[in-house]
Amino acid sequence: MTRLHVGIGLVGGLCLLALLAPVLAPHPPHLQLDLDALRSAAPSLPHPLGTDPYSRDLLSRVLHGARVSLGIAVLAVLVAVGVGVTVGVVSGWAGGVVDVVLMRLVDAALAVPRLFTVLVPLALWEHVTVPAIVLILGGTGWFGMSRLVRAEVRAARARPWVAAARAIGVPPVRIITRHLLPTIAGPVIVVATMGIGQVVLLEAGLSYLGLGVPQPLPSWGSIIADGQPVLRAAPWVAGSAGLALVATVLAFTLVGDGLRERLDPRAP
Amino acid sequence: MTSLLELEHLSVTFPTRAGPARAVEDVSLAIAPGETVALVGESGCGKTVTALSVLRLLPESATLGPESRIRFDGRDVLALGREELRRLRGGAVGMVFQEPGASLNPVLTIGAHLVETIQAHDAVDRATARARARELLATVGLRDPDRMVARYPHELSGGMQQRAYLAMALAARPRLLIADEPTTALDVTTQAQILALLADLTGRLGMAMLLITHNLGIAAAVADRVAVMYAGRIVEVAPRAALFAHPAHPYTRGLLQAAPRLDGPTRPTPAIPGAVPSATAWPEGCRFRPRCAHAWDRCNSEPTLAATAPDHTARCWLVTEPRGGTA
Repeated sequence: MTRLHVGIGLVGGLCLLALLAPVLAPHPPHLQLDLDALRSAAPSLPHPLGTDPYSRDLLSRVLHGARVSLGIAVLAVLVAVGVGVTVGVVSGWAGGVVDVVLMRLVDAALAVPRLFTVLVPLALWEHVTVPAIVLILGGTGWFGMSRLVRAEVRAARARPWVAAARAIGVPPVRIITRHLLPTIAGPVIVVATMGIGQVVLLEAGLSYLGLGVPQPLPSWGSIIADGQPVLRAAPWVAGSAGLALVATVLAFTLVGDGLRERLDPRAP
Repeated sequence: MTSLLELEHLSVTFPTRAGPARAVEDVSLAIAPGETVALVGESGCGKTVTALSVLRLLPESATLGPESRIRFDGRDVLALGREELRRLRGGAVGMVFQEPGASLNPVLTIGAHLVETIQAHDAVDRATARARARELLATVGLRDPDRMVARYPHELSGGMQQRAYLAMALAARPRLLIADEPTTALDVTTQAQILALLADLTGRLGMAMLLITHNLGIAAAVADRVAVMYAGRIVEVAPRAALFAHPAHPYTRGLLQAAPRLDGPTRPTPAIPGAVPSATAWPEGCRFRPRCAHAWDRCNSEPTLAATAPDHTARCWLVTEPRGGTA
């Protein structure tokens, strides 16, 4: 069994849990069960992961949190891939001034810490919604992707069969979709897969800071934040979401690494 | 009859670290409809650059001299818009390259390549394009076109790949085929078959051909006229028979002598001494002077193309001032 298999198993399991959350979760994730008796209750048979300080069932929150966290991450990465591939293809194909301008802008964007580029629009947004988070995470996540795609397009452009297709009058759009995109698909998939893990972490960080997913929607980051005041008395609150986070990032990194090995036999 | 392709005063310069490389200078060449012209010369003499400039396929860094004119079928190629240029490429002018394997995308079938090319030039549906693809494969002598369309490039031999690419170049019934060393990467028997095919196709389809080669034997086999290039310039142009019977330029003579012969006694092949100079530093005066056995004072200034016969010109002082040399 390779890393890829383990990773695919983990990712598959996580996605299944997220999709089936409404069925699997024993309680609605925001339901405060019993504010007198069930605050930060330890894991027990009716509440396998315990409850949080607001007497909500943690298993239900972590399962629903998977939906929110994975959903946001996957959509944000799709936005990033869309923008990054477009900018990269335009830059790499056009060359010249267009290329220089686009890539210098990307360089400048890469020089700013990601957390900063994410926090500023979030701070300016009045009521942060989930689509807004997706757009912000996606909109700040494509810089590296566009550089990668640009480099791949420039390399692919220099291939003799691309020159031959040009020489025989194949329209540029068709050369890009038929000859360039398939050759750059491999590295894009690898980087995007790893990117999902990164964005899950980033979103958790934002939600932990209270800037991400609005309450009472469960996100792993906000669950950790909920558990912070009771970290000593009830470590299972922050611990459960923390473990889910670690497992998710590990799973996507394993898949990304495994795919890289498969798609590029020269990779170390 | 008017010319199909006319190159006039074509000059191409590339910027390099060692200064501008004048890869092609003042090349004028005309090809009549249906005529096959061979452009012959050593590596680095500018023949490929000349060929690429016809369809404006030169790298972006290349600059054309202000005098340069390229006319195809009466139209100014240098003034064509992007879409007109794309239609010309693979449309009225087909092109084949040296490495047939590299010219085909390894992940697309031969059929996909052909359909793509056909649809790039004609608004036809897939079924029509597929039917025409099979016809084209038959035209270039590939047996069993029905199975060939489903094959991938790596499943084909070099000769079959070149035939398949040639089928693509012929997809829109071009009036001119530019063939850049089409047989160099092939073994000798396949080479002969491809040359025979090219000669047959030009005759059958009434197509003109600009054949780029370093091999005089190939020029002798298929060309109506031969242009010899040296150091970025055309040094001699003549009908095939005249060129091989009475080569006027010492470089042409050197090339002919350097070709090993099968008839006649075995002898050491006389090579032309030296090598082609660098395009960043062509010699002053006649560019062949440093390697020429006949060089004399006159050669310090550059000769022009002078006629030795009505259709035979050579760029050598020996043509106009034959008594000056020692030959």
